[in-house]
Amino acid sequence: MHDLRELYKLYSKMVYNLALSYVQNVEDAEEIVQDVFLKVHDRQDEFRGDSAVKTWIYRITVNTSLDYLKKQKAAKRSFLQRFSGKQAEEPAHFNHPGVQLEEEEAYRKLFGVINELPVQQKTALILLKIEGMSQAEAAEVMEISAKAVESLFQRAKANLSQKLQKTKEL
Amino acid sequence: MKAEELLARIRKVDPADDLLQRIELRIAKRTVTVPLRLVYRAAASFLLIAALECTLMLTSTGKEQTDVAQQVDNQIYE
Repeated sequence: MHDLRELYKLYSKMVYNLALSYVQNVEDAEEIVQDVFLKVHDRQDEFRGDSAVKTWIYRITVNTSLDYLKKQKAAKRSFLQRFSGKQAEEPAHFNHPGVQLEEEEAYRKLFGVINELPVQQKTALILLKIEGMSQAEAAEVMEISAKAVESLFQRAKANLSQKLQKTKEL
Repeated sequence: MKAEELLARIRKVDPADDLLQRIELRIAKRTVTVPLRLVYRAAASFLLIAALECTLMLTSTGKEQTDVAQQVDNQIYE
């Protein structure tokens, strides 16, 4: 199909920035980029051409990022539970190169709340508001209807303002 | 500032220059290690079967271990 170098040249920036939206730090985002392109390399034969290559790579990135977060959370939970019996807290390691230094605190709080959203809501919010996709494009990546994307986004927005309100009250 | 405005203002950044090299290195390493792993697995299976055969012969015939080992050796090289 395509040469890996060519695909990397075209889509690595997109993959990296999408991964950053999920994990908010450089090291983890780089791990995800590597995993994504290894999957792209392995699964080129599986690509059926029903969607654009870009949509296919977007989908792989979303799924890889979510899997990465799930594994990270499980590892932290089991480690903490083993030694203290406590649940894992939100990661404090925020290192997002796409945000201004003077606004880092605001973004840290915002992502802290976004990270608490259910995964589908979080994905809808990231694709629509950070990636700037249309509902139809996000629907194709998430393999759901545009209506479902809209509904997820509205719920994400409501949850977000509710949670942000709570953090202000604290 | 509203949350949505903040999200829309996040800048797109470039990944590290050596990231492609790291990916290619991982692919290359995997290409080497996968066949090696298969060889190790085949060798381990072979040894396991030989050990099982020894145990079976010892328990069923009560022969001395060296005799059995000799028999297994003969079978392997036949």
